[in-house]
Amino acid sequence: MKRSTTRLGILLAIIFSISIVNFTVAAEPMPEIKIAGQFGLVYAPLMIADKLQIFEKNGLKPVWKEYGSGAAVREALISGEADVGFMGIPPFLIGWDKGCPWKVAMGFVVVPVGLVTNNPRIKSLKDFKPSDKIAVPSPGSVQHILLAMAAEKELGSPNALDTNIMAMPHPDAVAALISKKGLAAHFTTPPYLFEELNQPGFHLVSSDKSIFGRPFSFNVGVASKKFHDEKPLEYLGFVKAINNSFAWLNGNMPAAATILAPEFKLTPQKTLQYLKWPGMDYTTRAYGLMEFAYFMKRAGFLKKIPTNANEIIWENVKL
Amino acid sequence: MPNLKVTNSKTFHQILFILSLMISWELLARIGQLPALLFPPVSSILHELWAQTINGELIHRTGFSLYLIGVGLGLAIILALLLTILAACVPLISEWVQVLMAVLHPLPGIAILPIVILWLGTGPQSIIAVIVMSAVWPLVANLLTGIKTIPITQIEVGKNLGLTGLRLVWSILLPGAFPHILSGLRVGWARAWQAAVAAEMVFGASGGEGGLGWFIYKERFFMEITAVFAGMIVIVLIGLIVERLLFEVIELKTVRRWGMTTN
Amino acid sequence: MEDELVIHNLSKNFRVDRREIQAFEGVDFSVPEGRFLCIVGPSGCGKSTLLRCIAGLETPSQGEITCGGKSIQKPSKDRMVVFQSFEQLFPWLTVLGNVTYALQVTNERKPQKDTSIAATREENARKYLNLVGLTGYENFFPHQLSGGMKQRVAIARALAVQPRFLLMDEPFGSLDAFSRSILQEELLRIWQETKTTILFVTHSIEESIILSEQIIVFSSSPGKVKAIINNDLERPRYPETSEFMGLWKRLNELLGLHPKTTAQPVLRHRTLFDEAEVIQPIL
Repeated sequence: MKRSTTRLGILLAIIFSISIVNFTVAAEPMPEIKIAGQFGLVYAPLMIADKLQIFEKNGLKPVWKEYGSGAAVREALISGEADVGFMGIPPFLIGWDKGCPWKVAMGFVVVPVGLVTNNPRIKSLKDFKPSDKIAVPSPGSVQHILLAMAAEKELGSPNALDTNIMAMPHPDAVAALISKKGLAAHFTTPPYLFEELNQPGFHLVSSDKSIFGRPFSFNVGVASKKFHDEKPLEYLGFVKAINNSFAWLNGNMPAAATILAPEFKLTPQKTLQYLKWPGMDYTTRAYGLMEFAYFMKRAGFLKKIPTNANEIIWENVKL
Repeated sequence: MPNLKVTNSKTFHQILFILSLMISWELLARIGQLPALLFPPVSSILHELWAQTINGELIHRTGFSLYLIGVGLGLAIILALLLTILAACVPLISEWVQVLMAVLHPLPGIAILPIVILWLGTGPQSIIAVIVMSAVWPLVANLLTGIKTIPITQIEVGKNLGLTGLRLVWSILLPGAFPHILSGLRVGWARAWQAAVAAEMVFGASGGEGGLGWFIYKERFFMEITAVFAGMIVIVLIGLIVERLLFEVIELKTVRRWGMTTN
Repeated sequence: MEDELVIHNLSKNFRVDRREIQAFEGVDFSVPEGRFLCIVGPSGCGKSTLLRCIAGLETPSQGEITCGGKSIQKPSKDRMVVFQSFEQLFPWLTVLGNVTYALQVTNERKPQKDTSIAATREENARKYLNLVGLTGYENFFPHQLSGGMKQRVAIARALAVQPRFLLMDEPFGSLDAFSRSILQEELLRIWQETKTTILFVTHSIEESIILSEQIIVFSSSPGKVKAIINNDLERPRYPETSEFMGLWKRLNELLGLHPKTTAQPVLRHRTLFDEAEVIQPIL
């Protein structure tokens, strides 16, 4: 979908620039920005920005790149395949810990996350036997770290469920859970979370509320020092475009649902229901950065932690 | 033996080449020409390799991988023997096997993983199924070629001595096909490794029990790039050891000794 | 005689590309015990197919083969074949191994694990290797031997199981003339020592005269027995003698060949071959 719209965008840009050339001789070509994202309801603002050409309106030509995990987005940033990217706080912190020269440019959506099972025997983490597999999208993902947090809280050790963990993409995990093949539970996010909870017999074992206690940014927008320092105008354009996108989404939910429905292969009504699900908050404020850092250091996922949040955020970020 | 001398000097040159590669890598990394995040110096990779060996992690992971491959390859060998023997005895089955092989041989074993997960779930049994699928067809292909290339007179001498059916297969067809069986085992082993590592990288560990594929997969997500390299080195080393200490020795003691080299 | 091999009104047809091809028809002859018979005929006259029928490796289309009064249906160690191909030895077994293996599989009644049985078997195998002049080569693998030595092993292996009939299908056909004459002499010596009945197929008239007591002359398309000729020339037989030449000319005429256009038999000298008895292994 993105490729075709990109092509359309390029075509429009060419037609537009040709018509401009007729009037202004010294028209600069629009600077490109390569954006690495993932798929899911969390990335609705990026899809809106794409459909409504919000980046173009802010003087930037976006090049969209979609990846399967936060780690892949991180690798895209490191290798220079992308200028900015969106990933969970844990993959961001792991990169920062290893010396990636980058900071958070914005928070990116607060969403409910939860550990879902269809096994009536499992009511809490204590009910997991060693043979009960728990799917998370990948090691070091938000879901994995939250599971470790929950294990620390309820079972006394962040590693208590290590042998239960299994890495699996969300759609595969949904299928495995429904067909009851080798999977006991799935730590997941919208829209998969909502779909699973709509199934009879599925219930939450644990959720962000009980584990984290308060909202946290599910993703953060990340920009490298190089991009931030050497292209300040593009950086500002990026922040502005994302803010505009969030503002439009929050102000036009039903219209947004109509635009997004085909992307998720859902009806507009269902999409709207998901967009407005309790706990969904389309905000660019960054929540929970230091909480994740403290826990991940304590549990051995990080070797160092920032002295304060300012060390890992750019100046525009509101906490 | 002259053969051994050639092998030794070959080994020497290979080691020399690998060493010089390692030294240039180290130097480039030290001078700062290569970003440490992408190209960690060889010394830190070796340090990581040592540390992960000492703490038992790599040994445990390697053991688990070898266990999966052993079971998978063992099943593939039994299956390949059954199919080939049936094909050798019953012309109709031979046709079926040919069709099956034509369809399934070009299919990488890993491609059946989504279906296998649906049928068998996500445990080690699925990885083993993928290994069997990857290894069985090259084995069958080589067994059939091997049997086809046995001189007809040797089979007739067997019949003349009163051998029939399974005894003929076991005493004449299998040893006669051994050069091809050996190359089939080599391909099967390589494909089994690829399948095991690839399967673990697609759906991660079968729980906390994961092999080297899972090790590399997991370390990638924690950006432990030195550990990723360490895992790769272990895979390469095992490949070399098995080739040099197992297959080459078997080849020397059988096919070469018997003058049955296929080339 | 009880052990007589009788071929009665035997015919064999092949189907090739939906066409019937007749290999031979109406073949009648018998092989008395202890005799050395040669079948001689042009290439493609069906003489090898006939031998394969006798071995039980092919089924005749018509007629019957009996051995000691019993009809032949399948291969048996009673009728051991020595083929023309150098590939008839098992390459994964040593010279000794090839012979002991034949002894082992043809003697299944006794337990295999018994070490004394294995020792007797090996001793027996060595005896036959000695008979064909291969003492010292027991631990060689077939690929280390020359063509002539390979055929010697094949003969030793066939004789070791003590068959009633030794069926030889142009066993020296792929050898050079030199090794060929040596092996012919060896074979005669072995026949005289073992008294095994030999049926020997060849397309060399000279070879049939040198070896046999009786020559069955085959004509081609389809193969038929044209004549059965008794060969009681005095041994050793030398091609330069007039008796030899006379028989040679007669056989040529029977086969429709004109002696002028075919090669004369090679003149042979005893002394040369006596020296050539020492065979160097080709490694």
